[in-house]
Amino acid sequence: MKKHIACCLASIVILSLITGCGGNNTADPKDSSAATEADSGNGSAEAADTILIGRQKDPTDLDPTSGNDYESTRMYHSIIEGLVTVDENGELIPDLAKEWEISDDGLVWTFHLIPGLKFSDGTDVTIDDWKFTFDRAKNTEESYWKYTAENIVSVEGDNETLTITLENENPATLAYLSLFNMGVQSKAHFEEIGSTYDDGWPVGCGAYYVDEWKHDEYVNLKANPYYYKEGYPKTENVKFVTVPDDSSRTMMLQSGELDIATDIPYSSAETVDAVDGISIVAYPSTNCRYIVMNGAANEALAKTEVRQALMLGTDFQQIIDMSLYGYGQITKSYLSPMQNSYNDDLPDWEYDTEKAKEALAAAGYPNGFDVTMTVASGNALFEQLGTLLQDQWSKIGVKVNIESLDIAALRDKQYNMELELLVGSWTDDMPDPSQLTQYILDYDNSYGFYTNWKSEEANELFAQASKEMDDTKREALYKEIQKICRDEVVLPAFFNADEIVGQSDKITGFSQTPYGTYFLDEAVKTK
Amino acid sequence: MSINSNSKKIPLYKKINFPLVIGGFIVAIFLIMALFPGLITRFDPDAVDQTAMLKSPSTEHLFGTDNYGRDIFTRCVYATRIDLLIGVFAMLVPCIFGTLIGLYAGYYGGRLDMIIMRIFDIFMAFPYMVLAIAIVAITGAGLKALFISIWIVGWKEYARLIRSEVLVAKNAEYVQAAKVLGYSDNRIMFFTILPNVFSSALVYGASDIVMCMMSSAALSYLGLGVQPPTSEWGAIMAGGKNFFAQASWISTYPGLFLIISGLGFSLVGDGLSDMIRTKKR
Amino acid sequence: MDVLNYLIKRILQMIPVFLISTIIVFVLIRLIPGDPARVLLGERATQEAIEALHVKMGLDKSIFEQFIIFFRNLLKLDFGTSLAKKVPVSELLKSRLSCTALLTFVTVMITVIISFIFGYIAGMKKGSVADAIIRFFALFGLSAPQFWIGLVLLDIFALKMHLLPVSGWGSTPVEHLKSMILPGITGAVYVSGILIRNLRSNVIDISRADYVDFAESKGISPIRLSLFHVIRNALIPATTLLSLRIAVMMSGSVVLEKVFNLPGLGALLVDAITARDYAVVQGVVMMFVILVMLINLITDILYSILDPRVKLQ
Repeated sequence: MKKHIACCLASIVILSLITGCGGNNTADPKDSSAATEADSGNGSAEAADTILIGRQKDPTDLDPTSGNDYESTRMYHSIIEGLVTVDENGELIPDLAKEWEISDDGLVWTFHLIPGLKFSDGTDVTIDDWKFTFDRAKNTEESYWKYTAENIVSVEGDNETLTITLENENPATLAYLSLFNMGVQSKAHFEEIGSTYDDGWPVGCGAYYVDEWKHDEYVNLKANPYYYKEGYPKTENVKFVTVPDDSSRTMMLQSGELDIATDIPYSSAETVDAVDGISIVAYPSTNCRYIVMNGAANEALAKTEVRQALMLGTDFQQIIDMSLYGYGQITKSYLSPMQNSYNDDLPDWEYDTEKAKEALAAAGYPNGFDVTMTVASGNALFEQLGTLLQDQWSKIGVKVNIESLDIAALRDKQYNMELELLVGSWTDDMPDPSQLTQYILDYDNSYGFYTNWKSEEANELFAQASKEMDDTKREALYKEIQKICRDEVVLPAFFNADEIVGQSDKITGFSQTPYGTYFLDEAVKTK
Repeated sequence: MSINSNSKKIPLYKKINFPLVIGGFIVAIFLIMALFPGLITRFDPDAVDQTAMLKSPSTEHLFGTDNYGRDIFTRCVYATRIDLLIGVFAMLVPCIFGTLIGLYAGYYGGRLDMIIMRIFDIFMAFPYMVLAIAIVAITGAGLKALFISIWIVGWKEYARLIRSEVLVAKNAEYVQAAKVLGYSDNRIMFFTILPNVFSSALVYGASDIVMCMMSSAALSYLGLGVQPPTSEWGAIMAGGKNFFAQASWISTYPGLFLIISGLGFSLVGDGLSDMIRTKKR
Repeated sequence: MDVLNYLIKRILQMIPVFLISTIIVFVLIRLIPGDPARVLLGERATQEAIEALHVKMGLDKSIFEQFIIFFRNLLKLDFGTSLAKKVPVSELLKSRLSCTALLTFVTVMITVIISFIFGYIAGMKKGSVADAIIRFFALFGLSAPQFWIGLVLLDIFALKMHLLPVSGWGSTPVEHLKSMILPGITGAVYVSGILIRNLRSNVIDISRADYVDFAESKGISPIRLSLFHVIRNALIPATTLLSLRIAVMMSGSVVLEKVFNLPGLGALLVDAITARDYAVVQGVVMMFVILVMLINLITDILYSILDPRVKLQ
């Protein structure tokens, strides 16, 4: 037995030796995916040439036609570029198309492309690839983005000029063209893979191409050697690492195992910022969280007067202070202030608990009422919003019971309109108010964003706005729609949040648009 | 009997069953906290106070405050009620149910015993987490789901324990005597054997209470526990995990409550088992 | 021949348990409300997309049909494909298993070392101050929640002292081992609590038992006596306990894996249930069932080796 104990002690000693030796190494796991390349000699030289970005979730789908979750959509621009794109302020700018002309009837758009475009695999970008892309965007049944391509009748041209013919004039055309499903993808590559990308990815002309995707662990991007912008991207490798646990991700950033970490909890922002060598950068965003009140499941919530009373009893500023720690602002309409046609003329939200109680009594609920709020379990922010609402509304006699369900069960109930009160999320993907507006007004698909709200008037205004080519008139129409929603208290927002990203001070040139898209080509990591 | 310094007089401090006394004392304190929280602290455990966010421990806020400005000490005290409830109630049902099964399986043996042991095997292999999450998904998170999942898996330990004791007791003299006297099976099981073996269940039960409280804490950590704003030690700790770097007190102190109460119950269990062991000798 | 017969008998007994568990889990996860297609495709998915995915996943068929297909594949040793991660389940199981297995191994090693040393000391020196201190720490280990211990250790050793990695498990064997130390200690605390107390009471009982007196009367030196005989006999109940714990550790390490961000089976299971990734849940549960039964079998055989009085039946 003594021998056994001796053996054990020996292993402890050995273990601690390993620990001791490895002690200096914790900040250097950069090239852990060395298995993919055989360039063993290059290990340390590549170290500063890789940027590690930590995120909460893995992308679901790298196919721009079908992917619509945030983690996926933010990445597309890095691998696929299209005719136009959006800059970091959210403005439309030319991308692969240098300039364009529009015919008098507004139906024929002629784009002049940057010459000599090549895909990341070295093949030339041809008119066939453009046709393939638009065709796919328009005809894939399951695509959430299908509607953006439906107006396109034909795509013709040659390798330098693209002529797109539309069926109707549509003011949102350029905005649609900036979407990722309109970014040119290699037809040959697609045909090689099969009939869908499955769990593969497209080949495009973005600054990077996908080198490896290890599901639920990381996506490794490598610089596109054929990128049309000379000298870009500046960094050879960008690796998106999936770290679901918030504290782990934050700790990895603090210890140097990650260079950038997104989805930093707002509550940790101050601590993370205080760490030497790390800063929190706040990016404006169209990201909004809504108080979704479903009149179909709770009759009190169906009454506009009740909803108005509830708003009088909601202290939005406190919510922003306590859940966002200041990284956000109030929005007066369902649109975020970052979006075009945001109606700033709407009145500010009022907070008056006495008035709220009176209003409730006038609406028929002098003793308040009970309501159940459902949040996704594990989502700390949503739980926090629930707790704050619970506390605030208790002062006006409304008792909020918080129910936490796992995400699948929650979605089920959500689609069956069984949830009374929930937190809704939205981030726009394009610089146009039509995306969100259309979603809310499309009752058949979203049930009024799960509020069970319909409005003939709003629908008519929207139909008009979809055809209105004059910018000023169009803006007025959207403002009108927002006013209706405000009056009827449809989708009041908890806030419009900034997105905070933790960045190592060694990183420069990284940014993201208000739609979440990452700009990686200028990102540099100094050693 | 001569009175001299060599006589074997057992000093008082060796006669006292320390674990039982100390443990009992601790449990009593927690009971008081559970029944009369208002006596101990004056804050409201649920009220949001924007002016008092994330304050570190001080004389006013013994354990500091959380990100909602709520006093952590107060929340811990009020949480005692829920946690003790969870601990005891979650333990009670499997204890009774498991004991019954163990009794029958051990006493009758044979086919019944084999079937029960197979069922036992299946339950043993089945990962607890799957069950817990499945139940939470079906019934929604909260106390109900917690109890159901603990009840479903908790009985097997008791069953196994009692069964093995019954297997031994079955052959004891007093049981043979009862059989000869013509007592019915039920009477033998419940009035003769059970009183002798139940003590093992109780001893295990004491540590089971601790385990139930910890299961609840673990489930809360995963986001599947009690609902806000309910104070429960594990939930308070889980809520503090995002603030660990800047406000570690939110997660640390409730942990202490959990540990001390666990110590209390474990000591009681230890004391009981010591008592039984000395009795048996 | 006896051993072989016993083995065959046990393996045959495992089959119905395995089958029943498989059926239970198959039905259970499908009963939980929630649509895997919805979870995968996100909130804004179109109805067409969801239905197309249902067909691809085979979910448009009845439960019974689904089970037949599943069973047929099982016989071919095809465990299906993960819906969420799009890789074969067997691949996932393999990579995750190595992580969980390593964690369990490290935890057991640490546990054994701590428990045997301290349990022995406490038992031999019953009633002393050392005994009281050890018992106190054992109780402490039993009552402290794992994630709390994990967070505290992380804070001290990883964050503040930069000795060990904060999360993940690296990609080289050395990195793997290093990343197992903190979670291993965290996991060992609880089990050591149980084992120390158990060993201590065994050591006490055995040191008073008849055969020890007998050995002493035969003139066997006290030192040799205590170390060899006492510990060897304490091994038996310790082994049972440990094996039980190993089974629990393998399937219950979720919290540890989440805190330390380790890609293990527990985390895989929880994520799969949340995503309603049926194939993965089934695969992991089946694996657990087999593992537990195997561990039980090995324990029973070990039992019979360690204690000549025990016969395999």
